[in-house]
Amino acid sequence: MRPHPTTLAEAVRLYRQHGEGREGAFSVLLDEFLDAFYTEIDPSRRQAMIDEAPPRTGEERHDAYIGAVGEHLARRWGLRIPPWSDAPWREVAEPWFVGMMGKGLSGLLLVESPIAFRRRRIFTEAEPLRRARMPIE
Amino acid sequence: MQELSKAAVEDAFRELGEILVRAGKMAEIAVYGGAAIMLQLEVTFRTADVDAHVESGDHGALMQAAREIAERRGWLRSWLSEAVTIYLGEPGGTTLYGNYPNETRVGLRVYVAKPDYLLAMKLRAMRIGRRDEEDAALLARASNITTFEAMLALLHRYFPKEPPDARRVAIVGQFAKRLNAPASDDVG
Repeated sequence: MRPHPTTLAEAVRLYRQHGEGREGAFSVLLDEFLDAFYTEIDPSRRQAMIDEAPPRTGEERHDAYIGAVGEHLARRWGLRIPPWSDAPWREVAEPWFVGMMGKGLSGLLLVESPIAFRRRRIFTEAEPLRRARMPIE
Repeated sequence: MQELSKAAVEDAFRELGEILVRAGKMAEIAVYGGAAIMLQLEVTFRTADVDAHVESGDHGALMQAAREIAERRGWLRSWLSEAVTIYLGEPGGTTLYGNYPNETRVGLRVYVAKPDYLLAMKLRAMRIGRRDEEDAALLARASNITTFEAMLALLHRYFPKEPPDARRVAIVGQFAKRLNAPASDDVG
Protein backbone atom coordinates (compact mmCIF):
# COMPACT_ATOMS: atom_id res chain seq x y z
CA MET A 1 0.00 0.00 0.00
CA ARG A 2 1.57 3.30 -1.04
CA PRO A 3 1.58 6.25 1.38
CA HIS A 4 -1.05 8.94 1.53
CA PRO A 5 0.15 12.24 -0.01
CA THR A 6 0.03 14.97 2.58
CA THR A 7 1.60 17.68 0.44
CA LEU A 8 1.12 18.67 -3.18
CA ALA A 9 4.81 17.99 -3.84
CA GLU A 10 4.45 14.51 -2.38
CA ALA A 11 1.43 13.79 -4.57
CA VAL A 12 3.50 14.65 -7.65
CA ARG A 13 6.46 12.58 -6.43
CA LEU A 14 4.12 9.61 -5.90
CA TYR A 15 2.73 10.12 -9.39
CA ARG A 16 6.24 9.98 -10.81
CA GLN A 17 7.09 6.87 -8.78
CA HIS A 18 3.88 4.89 -9.17
CA GLY A 19 1.54 6.51 -11.60
CA GLU A 20 3.21 7.78 -14.74
CA GLY A 21 1.46 6.41 -17.78
CA ARG A 22 -1.41 4.98 -15.71
CA GLU A 23 -4.69 6.48 -16.81
CA GLY A 24 -6.34 8.45 -14.03
CA ALA A 25 -3.42 8.07 -11.60
CA PHE A 26 -2.69 11.80 -11.51
CA SER A 27 -6.31 12.60 -10.75
CA VAL A 28 -6.48 9.99 -7.97
CA LEU A 29 -3.37 11.34 -6.25
CA LEU A 30 -4.56 14.91 -6.58
CA ASP A 31 -7.91 13.99 -5.01
CA GLU A 32 -6.15 12.24 -2.14
CA PHE A 33 -4.00 15.31 -1.53
CA LEU A 34 -7.07 17.56 -1.65
CA ASP A 35 -8.83 15.40 0.95
CA ALA A 36 -5.80 15.79 3.23
CA PHE A 37 -5.71 19.55 2.56
CA TYR A 38 -9.42 20.05 3.26
CA THR A 39 -9.40 18.02 6.47
CA GLU A 40 -6.52 20.14 7.81
CA ILE A 41 -7.94 23.24 9.47
CA ASP A 42 -4.77 24.95 10.69
CA PRO A 43 -3.75 27.63 8.12
CA SER A 44 -0.02 27.29 8.81
CA ARG A 45 -0.17 23.54 8.23
CA ARG A 46 -2.20 24.11 5.09
CA GLN A 47 0.43 26.56 3.90
CA ALA A 48 3.13 23.94 4.47
CA MET A 49 1.13 21.50 2.33
CA ILE A 50 1.60 23.68 -0.77
CA ASP A 51 4.91 25.43 -0.03
CA GLU A 52 7.35 22.81 -1.28
CA ALA A 53 7.96 22.93 -5.04
CA PRO A 54 6.63 19.79 -6.72
CA PRO A 55 9.04 18.11 -9.17
CA ARG A 56 8.56 18.64 -12.87
CA THR A 57 6.75 15.76 -14.57
CA GLY A 58 7.70 16.78 -18.08
CA GLU A 59 4.05 16.60 -19.15
CA GLU A 60 3.04 20.13 -20.14
CA ARG A 61 -0.57 19.88 -19.01
CA HIS A 62 0.23 18.19 -15.70
CA ASP A 63 2.96 20.70 -14.83
CA ALA A 64 0.69 23.63 -15.66
CA TYR A 65 -2.25 22.17 -13.78
CA ILE A 66 -0.10 21.54 -10.68
CA GLY A 67 0.96 25.19 -10.76
CA ALA A 68 -2.67 26.25 -11.01
CA VAL A 69 -3.61 23.99 -8.09
CA GLY A 70 -0.92 25.50 -5.86
CA GLU A 71 -1.93 29.05 -6.74
CA HIS A 72 -5.68 28.39 -6.61
CA LEU A 73 -5.58 26.72 -3.19
CA ALA A 74 -3.59 29.70 -1.85
CA ARG A 75 -6.05 32.23 -3.31
CA ARG A 76 -9.12 30.23 -2.35
CA TRP A 77 -8.14 29.62 1.28
CA GLY A 78 -6.29 32.83 2.10
CA LEU A 79 -2.72 31.50 2.00
CA ARG A 80 0.49 32.85 0.42
CA ILE A 81 0.83 31.94 -3.24
CA PRO A 82 3.87 29.64 -3.39
CA PRO A 83 6.60 31.20 -5.61
CA TRP A 84 7.29 27.91 -7.42
CA SER A 85 3.83 28.05 -8.97
CA ASP A 86 4.90 31.03 -11.08
CA ALA A 87 7.58 29.18 -13.04
CA PRO A 88 7.20 30.07 -16.73
CA TRP A 89 6.88 26.41 -17.71
CA ARG A 90 3.81 26.01 -15.53
CA GLU A 91 1.42 27.06 -18.29
CA VAL A 92 0.20 25.47 -21.49
CA ALA A 93 1.04 26.84 -24.92
CA GLU A 94 -2.42 26.27 -26.39
CA PRO A 95 -5.76 26.87 -24.61
CA TRP A 96 -6.84 23.73 -22.80
CA PHE A 97 -10.50 23.12 -22.06
CA VAL A 98 -10.30 20.32 -19.52
CA GLY A 99 -12.23 17.09 -19.60
CA MET A 100 -14.07 15.17 -22.25
CA MET A 101 -16.77 17.85 -22.31
CA GLY A 102 -14.35 20.74 -22.24
CA LYS A 103 -14.58 22.13 -25.77
CA GLY A 104 -18.34 21.69 -25.86
CA LEU A 105 -18.62 23.82 -22.75
CA SER A 106 -16.05 26.38 -23.83
CA GLY A 107 -18.43 29.32 -23.42
CA LEU A 108 -19.14 28.35 -19.84
CA LEU A 109 -15.55 27.55 -18.95
CA LEU A 110 -14.18 30.78 -20.43
CA VAL A 111 -16.38 32.67 -18.01
CA GLU A 112 -15.99 30.43 -14.98
CA SER A 113 -12.34 29.39 -14.95
CA PRO A 114 -10.64 30.82 -11.83
CA ILE A 115 -7.73 33.18 -12.41
CA ALA A 116 -5.05 30.67 -11.33
CA PHE A 117 -6.18 28.39 -14.13
CA ARG A 118 -7.22 30.99 -16.69
CA ARG A 119 -3.87 32.79 -16.67
CA ARG A 120 -2.21 29.49 -17.57
CA ARG A 121 -4.67 29.05 -20.49
CA ILE A 122 -6.45 26.28 -18.59
CA PHE A 123 -10.22 26.55 -18.75
CA THR A 124 -12.25 24.70 -16.16
CA GLU A 125 -15.23 25.17 -13.88
CA ALA A 126 -15.54 27.78 -11.14
CA GLU A 127 -14.77 25.37 -8.30
CA PRO A 128 -12.49 22.85 -9.99
CA LEU A 129 -10.99 21.37 -6.83
CA ARG A 130 -14.16 20.65 -4.90
CA ARG A 131 -14.44 17.41 -2.98
CA ALA A 132 -17.02 16.02 -0.59
CA ARG A 133 -14.63 16.92 2.22
CA MET A 134 -14.14 20.51 1.10
CA PRO A 135 -15.31 22.77 3.93
CA ILE A 136 -18.70 24.34 3.33
CA GLU A 137 -18.64 28.11 3.70
CA MET B 1 -3.39 6.42 0.82
CA GLN B 2 -5.17 3.19 1.47
CA GLU B 3 -6.64 1.46 -1.54
CA LEU B 4 -9.45 -0.85 -0.52
CA SER B 5 -10.37 -3.68 -2.86
CA LYS B 6 -13.85 -5.15 -3.18
CA ALA B 7 -12.68 -8.20 -1.20
CA ALA B 8 -11.20 -6.02 1.56
CA VAL B 9 -14.42 -4.01 1.88
CA GLU B 10 -16.58 -7.15 2.00
CA ASP B 11 -14.26 -8.65 4.61
CA ALA B 12 -14.57 -5.49 6.70
CA PHE B 13 -18.36 -5.71 6.40
CA ARG B 14 -18.18 -9.29 7.71
CA GLU B 15 -16.08 -8.21 10.65
CA LEU B 16 -18.37 -5.24 11.36
CA GLY B 17 -21.36 -7.61 11.33
CA GLU B 18 -19.60 -10.06 13.62
CA ILE B 19 -18.73 -7.37 16.17
CA LEU B 20 -22.29 -6.06 16.15
CA VAL B 21 -23.86 -9.52 16.46
CA ARG B 22 -21.65 -10.36 19.43
CA ALA B 23 -22.69 -7.10 21.09
CA GLY B 24 -26.35 -7.87 20.45
CA LYS B 25 -26.60 -4.90 18.07
CA MET B 26 -27.69 -4.37 14.50
CA ALA B 27 -27.22 -1.61 11.92
CA GLU B 28 -28.18 -0.95 8.33
CA ILE B 29 -26.07 1.16 5.99
CA ALA B 30 -26.44 2.34 2.39
CA VAL B 31 -23.21 2.65 0.42
CA TYR B 32 -22.64 5.40 -2.17
CA GLY B 33 -19.81 6.81 -4.25
CA GLY B 34 -16.83 4.92 -5.58
CA ALA B 35 -17.36 2.03 -3.18
CA ALA B 36 -20.87 1.47 -4.52
CA ILE B 37 -19.53 1.48 -8.09
CA MET B 38 -16.75 -0.94 -7.13
CA LEU B 39 -19.12 -3.34 -5.39
CA GLN B 40 -21.61 -3.51 -8.26
CA LEU B 41 -19.75 -3.03 -11.51
CA GLU B 42 -16.76 -4.72 -13.08
CA VAL B 43 -14.13 -2.06 -12.53
CA THR B 44 -10.43 -2.19 -11.86
CA PHE B 45 -10.19 0.73 -9.49
CA ARG B 46 -10.10 0.54 -5.71
CA THR B 47 -11.55 2.96 -3.23
CA ALA B 48 -9.91 4.95 -0.45
CA ASP B 49 -12.97 4.79 1.76
CA VAL B 50 -16.59 3.69 1.92
CA ASP B 51 -19.11 6.50 1.71
CA ALA B 52 -22.13 5.38 3.66
CA HIS B 53 -25.33 6.61 5.21
CA VAL B 54 -26.47 4.88 8.39
CA GLU B 55 -30.06 4.00 7.60
CA SER B 56 -31.06 2.53 10.95
CA GLY B 57 -29.77 0.73 14.00
CA ASP B 58 -27.13 1.52 16.56
CA HIS B 59 -25.08 4.31 15.02
CA GLY B 60 -22.65 4.57 17.92
CA ALA B 61 -21.94 0.84 18.04
CA LEU B 62 -21.41 0.75 14.28
CA MET B 63 -18.92 3.60 14.23
CA GLN B 64 -17.07 2.20 17.26
CA ALA B 65 -16.77 -1.15 15.47
CA ALA B 66 -15.53 0.66 12.35
CA ARG B 67 -12.81 2.36 14.42
CA GLU B 68 -11.74 -0.99 15.91
CA ILE B 69 -11.44 -2.45 12.43
CA ALA B 70 -9.42 0.54 11.26
CA GLU B 71 -6.95 0.09 14.10
CA ARG B 72 -6.57 -3.64 13.53
CA ARG B 73 -6.05 -3.25 9.78
CA GLY B 74 -4.03 -0.08 9.79
CA TRP B 75 -6.74 1.78 7.86
CA LEU B 76 -7.68 5.41 8.29
CA ARG B 77 -10.34 5.84 10.96
CA SER B 78 -12.43 7.57 8.34
CA TRP B 79 -12.59 4.48 6.11
CA LEU B 80 -16.33 4.35 6.79
CA SER B 81 -17.26 7.94 5.98
CA GLU B 82 -20.58 9.72 6.34
CA ALA B 83 -19.46 12.79 4.35
CA VAL B 84 -21.78 11.78 1.50
CA THR B 85 -24.90 12.23 3.59
CA ILE B 86 -25.42 15.88 2.72
CA TYR B 87 -25.52 15.10 -1.01
CA LEU B 88 -28.33 12.56 -0.94
CA GLY B 89 -31.64 13.06 -2.68
CA GLU B 90 -34.97 11.29 -2.35
CA PRO B 91 -34.92 7.85 -0.68
CA GLY B 92 -35.51 4.76 -2.76
CA GLY B 93 -32.41 4.50 -4.86
CA THR B 94 -30.79 1.57 -3.08
CA THR B 95 -30.84 -2.20 -3.33
CA LEU B 96 -29.85 -4.90 -0.83
CA TYR B 97 -26.21 -5.95 -1.24
CA GLY B 98 -25.74 -8.39 1.63
CA ASN B 99 -26.20 -9.42 5.24
CA TYR B 100 -23.13 -9.77 7.47
CA PRO B 101 -21.50 -11.80 8.88
CA ASN B 102 -23.94 -14.15 7.12
CA GLU B 103 -27.57 -14.63 6.19
CA THR B 104 -28.52 -16.31 9.46
CA ARG B 105 -26.54 -14.11 11.88
CA VAL B 106 -27.13 -10.52 10.85
CA GLY B 107 -25.37 -7.66 12.61
CA LEU B 108 -24.96 -5.49 9.53
CA ARG B 109 -27.25 -5.14 6.55
CA VAL B 110 -25.67 -3.39 3.59
CA TYR B 111 -27.56 -1.65 0.81
CA VAL B 112 -25.89 -0.06 -2.20
CA ALA B 113 -27.06 2.88 -4.26
CA LYS B 114 -28.18 1.63 -7.66
CA PRO B 115 -26.27 2.77 -10.75
CA ASP B 116 -29.07 5.10 -11.82
CA TYR B 117 -29.08 6.80 -8.43
CA LEU B 118 -25.30 7.15 -8.51
CA LEU B 119 -25.63 8.61 -12.00
CA ALA B 120 -28.17 11.15 -10.74
CA MET B 121 -25.74 12.19 -8.00
CA LYS B 122 -22.97 12.58 -10.57
CA LEU B 123 -25.13 14.56 -12.99
CA ARG B 124 -26.18 16.88 -10.20
CA ALA B 125 -22.67 17.68 -9.03
CA MET B 126 -20.28 16.42 -11.70
CA ARG B 127 -16.93 18.20 -11.72
CA ILE B 128 -15.78 19.07 -15.19
CA GLY B 129 -12.48 17.59 -16.22
CA ARG B 130 -12.15 15.12 -13.38
CA ARG B 131 -12.80 11.42 -12.90
CA ASP B 132 -16.47 12.22 -12.39
CA GLU B 133 -16.95 12.34 -16.15
CA GLU B 134 -15.59 8.82 -16.59
CA ASP B 135 -17.58 7.47 -13.65
CA ALA B 136 -20.74 9.10 -14.98
CA ALA B 137 -20.19 7.54 -18.41
CA LEU B 138 -19.75 4.12 -16.81
CA LEU B 139 -22.93 4.57 -14.76
CA ALA B 140 -24.94 5.90 -17.70
CA ARG B 141 -24.13 2.82 -19.76
CA ALA B 142 -24.72 0.45 -16.80
CA SER B 143 -28.16 1.92 -16.15
CA ASN B 144 -28.98 2.42 -19.85
CA ILE B 145 -29.69 6.11 -19.35
CA THR B 146 -27.87 7.66 -22.25
CA THR B 147 -30.05 10.44 -23.65
CA PHE B 148 -30.31 14.04 -22.49
CA GLU B 149 -34.06 13.67 -21.89
CA ALA B 150 -33.60 10.50 -19.83
CA MET B 151 -30.92 12.19 -17.74
CA LEU B 152 -33.13 15.18 -16.96
CA ALA B 153 -35.98 12.81 -16.03
CA LEU B 154 -33.60 10.93 -13.75
CA LEU B 155 -32.59 14.14 -11.99
CA HIS B 156 -36.23 15.05 -11.52
CA ARG B 157 -36.96 11.59 -10.10
CA TYR B 158 -34.27 11.61 -7.43
CA PHE B 159 -33.87 15.35 -6.82
CA PRO B 160 -37.39 16.72 -7.42
CA LYS B 161 -36.88 19.66 -5.09
CA GLU B 162 -33.73 20.81 -6.87
CA PRO B 163 -34.49 21.35 -10.56
CA PRO B 164 -31.25 21.80 -12.53
CA ASP B 165 -30.38 25.41 -13.38
CA ALA B 166 -29.31 26.54 -16.86
CA ARG B 167 -25.66 25.81 -16.10
CA ARG B 168 -26.41 22.26 -15.02
CA VAL B 169 -28.69 21.67 -18.02
CA ALA B 170 -25.83 22.77 -20.30
CA ILE B 171 -23.41 20.40 -18.58
CA VAL B 172 -25.82 17.45 -18.74
CA GLY B 173 -26.55 18.24 -22.38
CA GLN B 174 -22.89 18.26 -23.29
CA PHE B 175 -22.28 15.08 -21.29
CA ALA B 176 -25.07 13.26 -23.18
CA LYS B 177 -23.76 14.58 -26.50
CA ARG B 178 -20.23 13.42 -25.70
CA LEU B 179 -21.44 10.04 -24.41
CA ASN B 180 -23.23 9.30 -27.66
CA ALA B 181 -20.49 10.55 -29.97
CA PRO B 182 -18.13 8.13 -31.71
CA ALA B 183 -14.94 7.72 -29.68
CA SER B 184 -12.84 9.57 -32.23
CA ASP B 185 -15.14 12.59 -32.44
CA ASP B 186 -13.93 15.81 -30.88
CA VAL B 187 -17.36 17.04 -29.92
CA GLY B 188 -17.55 20.77 -29.81
